[in-house]
Amino acid sequence: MATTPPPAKATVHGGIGQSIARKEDQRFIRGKGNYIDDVNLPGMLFLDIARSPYAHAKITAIHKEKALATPGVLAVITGADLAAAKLAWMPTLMSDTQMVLPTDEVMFQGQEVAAVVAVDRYAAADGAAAIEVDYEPLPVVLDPFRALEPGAPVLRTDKGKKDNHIWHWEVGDKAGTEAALKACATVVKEKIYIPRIHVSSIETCGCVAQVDAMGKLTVWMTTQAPHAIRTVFALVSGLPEQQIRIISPDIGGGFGGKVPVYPGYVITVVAALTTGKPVKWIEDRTENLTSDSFARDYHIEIELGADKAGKLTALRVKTLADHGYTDAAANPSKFPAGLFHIITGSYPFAKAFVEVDAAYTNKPPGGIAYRCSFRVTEAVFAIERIVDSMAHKLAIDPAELRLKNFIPPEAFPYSSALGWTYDSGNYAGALRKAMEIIDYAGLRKEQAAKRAKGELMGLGISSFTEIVGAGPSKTFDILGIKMFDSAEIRIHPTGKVIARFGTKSQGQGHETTYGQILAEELGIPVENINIEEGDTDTAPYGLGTYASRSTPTAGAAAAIACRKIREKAAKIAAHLLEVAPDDIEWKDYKFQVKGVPEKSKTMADVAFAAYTNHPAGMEAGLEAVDYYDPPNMTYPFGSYICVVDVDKETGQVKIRRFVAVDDCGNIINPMIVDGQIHGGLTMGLGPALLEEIQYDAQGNSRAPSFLEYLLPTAVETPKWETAKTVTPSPHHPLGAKGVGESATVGAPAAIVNAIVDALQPYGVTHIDIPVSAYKVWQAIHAKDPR
Amino acid sequence: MHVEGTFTTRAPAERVWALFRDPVAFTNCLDDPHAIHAVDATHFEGTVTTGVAFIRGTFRVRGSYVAETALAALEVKLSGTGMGSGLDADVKLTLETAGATTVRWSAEITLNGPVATIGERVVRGTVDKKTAALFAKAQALLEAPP
Repeated sequence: MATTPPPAKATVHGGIGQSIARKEDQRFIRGKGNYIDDVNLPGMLFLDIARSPYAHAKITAIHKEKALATPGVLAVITGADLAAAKLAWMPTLMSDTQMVLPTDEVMFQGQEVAAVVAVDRYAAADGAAAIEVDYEPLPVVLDPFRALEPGAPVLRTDKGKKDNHIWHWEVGDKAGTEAALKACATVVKEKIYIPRIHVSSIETCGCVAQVDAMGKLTVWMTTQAPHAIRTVFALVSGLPEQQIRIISPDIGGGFGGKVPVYPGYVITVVAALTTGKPVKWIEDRTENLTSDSFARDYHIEIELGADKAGKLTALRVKTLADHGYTDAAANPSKFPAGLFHIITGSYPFAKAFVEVDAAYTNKPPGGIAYRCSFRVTEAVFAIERIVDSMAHKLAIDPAELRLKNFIPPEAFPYSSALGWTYDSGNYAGALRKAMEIIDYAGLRKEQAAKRAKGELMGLGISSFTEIVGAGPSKTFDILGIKMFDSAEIRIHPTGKVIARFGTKSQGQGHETTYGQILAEELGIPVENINIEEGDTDTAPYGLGTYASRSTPTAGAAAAIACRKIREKAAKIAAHLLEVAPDDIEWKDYKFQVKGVPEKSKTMADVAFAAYTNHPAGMEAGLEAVDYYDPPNMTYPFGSYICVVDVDKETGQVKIRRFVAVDDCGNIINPMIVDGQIHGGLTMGLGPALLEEIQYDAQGNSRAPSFLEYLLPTAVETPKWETAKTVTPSPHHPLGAKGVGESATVGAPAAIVNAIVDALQPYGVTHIDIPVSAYKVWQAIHAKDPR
Repeated sequence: MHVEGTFTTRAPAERVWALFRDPVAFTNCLDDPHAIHAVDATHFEGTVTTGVAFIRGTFRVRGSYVAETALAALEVKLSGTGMGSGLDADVKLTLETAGATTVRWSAEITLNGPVATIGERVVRGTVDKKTAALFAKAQALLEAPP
């Protein structure tokens, strides 16, 4: 007898799990994006900035005459002008202070010294070049260790400081860890330097500021956190907050570099207020690379202990953070070292202790979360490197050591020795999948055969656990503002949707993924949903997008707001279907009478009724807002395996294969996740092999352009092989975790572990990134002098 | 950056000394456009228009003769700003007479700003080229009939 096939599962176009093309790409790939430099207003003036050539110097005079005599120049703004309005200094996001324009001293090469306002950008540039400044060079402090030595020149005398130490922070059991390490059968220790790098987004920073006839200030700005910026502007300037509008339009990459408030923004606002005309400022690439907030610059000493059976038992970490001349990192206020104490990683340490000290130096400020969720890349790099060191010391395969030691799935939610509660994980599952895809066992056999012939081949693993989604209000705030996020959703009478969020995409694809959440929750096709972000006059308050927080926070807010709408909509459906509300269920993207599926109403039907035929006593309309306070962070994870071949004669490293298995919980759009991972892996490759900002003895940046600061191109980038496991977050309404930064977090350790593995015959235990061919050659020949 | 050199000329020490002790006369050995004047017996200032690679512009310079032993040794300190960059130099000169006059010179040069950063890969070559040209022209001037 023929069986009736089961009914096809109901779907909605663009729901969760579908790899639909990104909506926003319609304008991006046609060159129709609306970036800051596309904002052109009638009568707009231009601002350019004269910058210090010295890393540390006293300013004895600023001569404006030639600048003011330059054709087209209308005004010159100096620190003295700002000081009169108490604007020469401003707070940083870490409650330190930084100069908008100096009155006495400059503290890093490239620091803003004076600004010129002119009729066009060329006149502004000519004017800036005509500013003459008399400097008295002062001793330069570049090494954070030397900065903390007695007798070092004190940099922040403006704060009354007697030394260059900013703060000390620690967490864990110091005495217990000391005792545990003493009891270990084996302890390995490494010094790891993660150098200063730069986000290098395609679009540099800039803004357009305008004051209208009603005295309202509008600033179009490259910012990842428009609401927080608006509040900071209000507090610093004294302007009423409702008279300030921040618009963050399309942003050409943020990666954390567009979270801080740069002096250029403030000076541009001052110029607009004083001239009464719109003013635009866009920095050039050298300004971007030499004065915007950097990332990383951590000097880490890490010790790992294991028992006789190879169980990892104790971890101790001591770190010195170089913050430049001011602490302008963008960390939650209770965590000056960010979330660095995720450094216990994927392993259940009984005892762990972390301490971090921060120092001032004559370098640009920063320490931003460059695609690393608040120092998580530093943490993951250190733990995955030292685990490999332990594996080599114990002569255990690095995969075997990890599989022996991972936190098991049944241990979740898992409380780490450093205070985090991990939501879910299946670390062994991810690693085994990566090993199977790459044929790990086969590659080890190949390596053994090559080693016998003196050829260098290496395998490197990185099994990372990340922490994202900042964060629960009981622990997370920036400048006191709690780190919730928000979604406001309205369904129009014809069943179409407008939704606004407190986050701000800089390329993550929010217009698509948020639309997919709403499509899934409301049963409305994604093409009927418009998503907006970035205008503080219309979007609900939020803390912006960075540190992979959007899906965990605003994505959750979207789901909850949709469920609030469904609750009201169910009552309207009941009214339309003439049944009691309890007789209605949401099934197959429709409101159905329980047990009578043919009696149903779509969300579009309900939306029309919400304005034309809603129950008596009920408010009209169909909308909801949710401010989501996450109960916990989320913990994406993954395992990456990298295979390298190393040329003994040149030190050149060739990445032969790279397999990335990621787990970000439930996936909204698999294609977008793959895009995030591809981009993130490339942004992990860069620091591993190429990227570094160095300074010479005078504090001159040796990376002022892309001629010196090397980014990976298609030539250097291997074919990434990606795969997934799915371990939902139990506390997130959608089971999703966030994925924007995972690959940047996990990739560097896999690459460096592979290189060090290749160099095992030479007894190499570590090479600092970026691992250049010269460093590899040096490592080989240090052990094998010719 | 350290640069140094030496040359020997038939010109007597007095004529050599007069050239190097006169900032206007000496800077006339520069190929780059310039306008230098003496402020007093030991100080001078002015402008020099020069460049490294694609970074070209005008430096404001100030100099002072900080040590001298007539006809034997001279030290000049220079500082300049321009093109968003800074320059400091300490130049030392000695004269030895044994028939001909041998001039030994050395300079410690510190650069800051875009000239030092963007121009780093070419600045050494440019400095070598310009100082060689400067002293070659000085030698030619000294060899010419008075």
